[in-house]
Amino acid sequence: MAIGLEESSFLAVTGSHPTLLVTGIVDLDTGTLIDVLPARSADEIEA
Amino acid sequence: MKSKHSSTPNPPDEGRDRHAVSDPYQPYATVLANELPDARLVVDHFHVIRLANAALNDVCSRRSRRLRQGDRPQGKAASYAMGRLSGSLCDEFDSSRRTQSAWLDDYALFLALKDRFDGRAWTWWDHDVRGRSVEPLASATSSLDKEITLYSFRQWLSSNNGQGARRGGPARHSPFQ
Repeated sequence: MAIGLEESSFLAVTGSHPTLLVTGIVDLDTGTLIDVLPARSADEIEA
Repeated sequence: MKSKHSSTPNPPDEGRDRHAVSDPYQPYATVLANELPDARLVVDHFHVIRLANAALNDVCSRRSRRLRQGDRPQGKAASYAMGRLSGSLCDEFDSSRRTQSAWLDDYALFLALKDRFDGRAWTWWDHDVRGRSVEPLASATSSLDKEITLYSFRQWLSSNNGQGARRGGPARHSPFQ
C-alpha cells in the first residue's frame, strides 16, 4: 500500500487573495485521488 | 486523516509493506509519522534534486564570496585610480561609458546587484529585482550608483588594455603603464 501527499496550486493569485494551495491525498496503488484538503498544516490535515 | 468523501472502509493491509510518498515538507512528514508510523517515508525525486541544487548553489556562493574578498585589493586600486582620474582621461571614460551604455549599464548593474546579494545566482535574488520591476530596479540603481560606476570604470580599463594588446603595444592612457 502506498499513499501520497502533495500540495497543488488550486487558485492562482489575484488582487484579492494569494495563491491558494491545497493538499491532495492519493492512493498510489490504484492512482485514485482520495481527498483534497484546503490546508497544508499538520493539524488541519490530521483533523 | 480520513477521507471526507469515501464511504468505503480502508482495505486490510496487515503484513504488507506500506509506503508514504510526499515532498520534503515538515508538516506532511509530521502527519505521515503520526498517522502511518510504520510506513516507509519516500521523498520524490524532483524535490531531492531541487534541494541538492540549492545546497550546491550555496557552496558556489560561499566560494565566490571568498574569491571576491581576495579580489578586493584590485577593487580598491580601481577605486583609487578612478578617484584620481582627471582631464582628458575623465572625458574619455565618460564618452566611452555613454557610447557603450546600451550594454554596459545593465552589465555593471548586474555585477553590483550580484555583490549586494552575496554572489548568489540571479535566480535567488529578491523577486522584484530579478523580475526587473521598474521601481525596485530604479531604487537599486540609485543606491548602487558608486558600485555601478566602479564596475563601468574597471570595464573601461580592461577594454583599453585589451585594445592596446591587440595593437601589439601598451594600452593608450592606461594607468597600468
